[in-house]
Amino acid sequence: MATFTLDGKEIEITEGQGLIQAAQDQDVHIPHYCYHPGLTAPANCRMCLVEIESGGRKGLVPACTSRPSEGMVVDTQSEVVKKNQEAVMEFLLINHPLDCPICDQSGECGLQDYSFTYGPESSRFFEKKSVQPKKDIGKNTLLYSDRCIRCTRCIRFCDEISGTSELGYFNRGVHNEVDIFPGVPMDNRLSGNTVDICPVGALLDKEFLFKQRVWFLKEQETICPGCSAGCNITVSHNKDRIYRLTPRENLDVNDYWMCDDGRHGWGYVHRDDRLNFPEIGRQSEGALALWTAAMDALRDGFAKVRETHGDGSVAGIASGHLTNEENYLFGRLMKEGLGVGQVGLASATSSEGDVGFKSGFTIRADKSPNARGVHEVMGGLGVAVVDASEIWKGIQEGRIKALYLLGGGFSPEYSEAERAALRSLEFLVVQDILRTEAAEEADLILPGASAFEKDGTFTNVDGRVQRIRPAFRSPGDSKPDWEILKEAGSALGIAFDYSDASSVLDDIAVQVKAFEGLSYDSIAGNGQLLATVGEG
Amino acid sequence: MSLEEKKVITALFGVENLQDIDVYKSNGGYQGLEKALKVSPDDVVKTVQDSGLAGRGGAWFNTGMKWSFMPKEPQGPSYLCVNADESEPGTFKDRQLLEKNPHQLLEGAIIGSYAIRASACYIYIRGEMMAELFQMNACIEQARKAGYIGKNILGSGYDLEVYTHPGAGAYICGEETGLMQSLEGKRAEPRVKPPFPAQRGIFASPTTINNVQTLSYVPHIINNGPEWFKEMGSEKYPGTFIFCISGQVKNPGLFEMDIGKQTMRDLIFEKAGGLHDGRELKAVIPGGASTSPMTPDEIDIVMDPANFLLPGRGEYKGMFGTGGIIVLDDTACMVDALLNLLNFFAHESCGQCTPCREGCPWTRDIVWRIEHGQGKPGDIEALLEVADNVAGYLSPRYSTICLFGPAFSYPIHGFLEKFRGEFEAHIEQGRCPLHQHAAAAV
Repeated sequence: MATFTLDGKEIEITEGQGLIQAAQDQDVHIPHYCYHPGLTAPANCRMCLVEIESGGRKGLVPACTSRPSEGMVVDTQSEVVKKNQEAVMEFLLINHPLDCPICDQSGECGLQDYSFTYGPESSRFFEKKSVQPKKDIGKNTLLYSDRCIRCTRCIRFCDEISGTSELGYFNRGVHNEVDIFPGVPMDNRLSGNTVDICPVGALLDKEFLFKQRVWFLKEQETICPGCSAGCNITVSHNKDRIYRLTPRENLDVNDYWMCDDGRHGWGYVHRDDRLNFPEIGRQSEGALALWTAAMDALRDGFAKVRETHGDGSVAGIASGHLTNEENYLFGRLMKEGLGVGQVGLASATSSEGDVGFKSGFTIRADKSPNARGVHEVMGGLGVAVVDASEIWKGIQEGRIKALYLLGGGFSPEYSEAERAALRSLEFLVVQDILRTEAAEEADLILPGASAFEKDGTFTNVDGRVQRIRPAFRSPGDSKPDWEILKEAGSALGIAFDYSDASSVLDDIAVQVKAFEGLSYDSIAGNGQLLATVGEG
Repeated sequence: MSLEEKKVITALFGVENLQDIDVYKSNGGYQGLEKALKVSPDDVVKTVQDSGLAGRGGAWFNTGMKWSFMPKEPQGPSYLCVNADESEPGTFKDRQLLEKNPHQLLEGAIIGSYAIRASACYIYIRGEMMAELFQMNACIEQARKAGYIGKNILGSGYDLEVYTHPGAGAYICGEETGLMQSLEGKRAEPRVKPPFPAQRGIFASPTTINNVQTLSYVPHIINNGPEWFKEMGSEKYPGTFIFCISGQVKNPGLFEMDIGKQTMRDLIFEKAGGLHDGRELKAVIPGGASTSPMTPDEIDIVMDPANFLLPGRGEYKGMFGTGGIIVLDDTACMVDALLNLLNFFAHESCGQCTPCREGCPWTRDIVWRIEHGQGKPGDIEALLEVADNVAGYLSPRYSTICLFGPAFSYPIHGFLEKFRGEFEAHIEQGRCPLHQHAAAAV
């Protein structure tokens, strides 16, 4: 077994692993700026220099471009190493504006953190600082060059990941600066990642700019609901408001990145037309109601239609914006509670198709995060999934008189014919988060929770099941959709005996073959592929 | 000791129209190439290695040894690159070689290409030397017509293309990996080594980079054999060397000398005609901007790289460098001289890596203050510490990607080691004791 020595400890070499990562695995942090695990390493910041003895020679070399090899002796703590770290911190700060009090990065800044740990305590720089301009470089991004430490992560990101190469390195020496080329803004759809990977406050997100000091933000790990890719993200929020979404590492899904569509796609969560209370009665007659009354109305409404028009007169439309658990409960509710063997599913596919980038990162055409999950759980329940147009047709032909419509995402647009069809229904239940056109026509509105306000799992386009978590409570009297569906099921006489979303998944794992072996525990980490992925 | 010039590569400088291939051939040109193509590439490498020819760009590494690192059975293209981006202050020998005897370099480059099995040869010529570049283009065309370049050279089965490439206008383009970046059309930002050029050079292919002067010797070595070359020069560094003497001397110029046969004093006072009347020697910069200055009592050193700590591990604590000797007399202010050098370095730093980008202008600014009467106690210590943070003086420890860091920090150490009193006088008196500066805006 090949080994190398790290600070006096013998470590087994993991094939293909770089030194910074190998050290990190041993809880030895080698400070770095220009190195990023998702990008090539130019070794230009000189912060990660460590002393390496290999082949009889000892020297100060960058850890980011070194790989452990047999017999290599690495010292990350020697006097020479520490002196270099202190020197680099001093160099990086002499021309830095030190405007931390007005800098968005403050509190999560590589310069602050490393300066505290590795830097000198005072400055001996008496010269004039080199001052660089603040620049607007794209739809979403500002570049305060005076704070830039020229690590070139952003340039490499645009070269290697998005493949759009909008950023370049201009001028020379202390005057060099990152910039766009004249007239070509950095408007690629991954541009927000450059802000994330900027170790200092040079690249700034216009949406987040001056909105919140980062130390007030609370963080929750979840999955982006913007499309079926299922990028792993962190929601930063405070006082029940989202301030930003940032990607989390998951090498099986999104590497370290997310797209700008998802990053800036959360606005609907805080829209004024969020549904806060159950409402009974159509349009002007509608009145806010308690959940108990709402459930009575649900039971009575469906019962009346079934009595009058028979079993085939009721239909349901599932939602790719809701979780596996919620759709599972909905499938059971339709089948066991209302005797319906099929559900509709509206397509959320964008006409632009999948949008791929150089690194392989893909923005998916299907803008619902869980359409695959709907198909999988319904399949397992023996409930057919048909296109929503079938249901609309049924309504227009008068076969369908009552509809249970699930929403949960941003507002869909309805055609005039569809709105007319909705109006023709005798009983319309809309479970959604926004006052959509459908909600306007509803006899019963059940206010659900957005993907940022509840627990559950999504199945992404590849069949990977991943966990979403609530960042904060949904507004008003609204509640997570799985709770609503559980109560609705009970109202319709099904014994839904679930204490939480997790127990629903446990049930799915038993009932649906594709979900065999899945549980919250098993999908922790990078999520887990459905048992059936790869078959056929 | 010999004060006579020993002319090898400058021997034909006086010949008229030497740039014409016929004139060059009638003076013995291209015989080395014809001879080299009759033996195997490895034999050529061995001949050059045996001759002890060392790289004249300043590193003094054995040329044949460098060539031997190239793949013997190339899997793809490999390249020879001629570094004609001469831009070291005080150094002007390559330009003369390019201007006066371009075919000698071209012949050397073709032999070198053959020796390392290169599929193409690039001659990277400093952008300021366009006349030399156009002339080289004409030489390449002549050599092609004569069958020395192209397919199946002289029936040997060896194919070679030679291209010229104009430099991109920066000192750092002369750093070998910076040059490769520049040749590929990128910013001349030196690469991290390893991989070394012989593993991954231009266009990710094995590459050898040689200096103009080095390659100019090659035809002569092939013609006359390694023993002939070893008869010249010193044991460790055979051959001749071109010294470029400039500064405050009566007769500045190029002098091709037998290595190790004369002292610095000989070069200044005998070859370069000594100082102007009434002046006294104050300092000598021995081999380009980054070599630390010598004081008058140090110039009796024999000018052999072996006597210098770098590259020869000799006794004298300094660098031999490129042969660009700059002479300063007693009218020169050493603070001003260091400021001049640091202005150059701060202007030329590529800015890629932190210590050089930030440290170079910082030290320049401190020296500027001292020279302009705004020095304060602690400045000298700060200069030394910052310079040490970039690179340990004459030590293998440096924190930058390329040797530009040591290149600008060595003179700071050197000037302060030898002339600290002058710096202190500036700070104490609050002015330059030698020069009057117009009141400078801070």
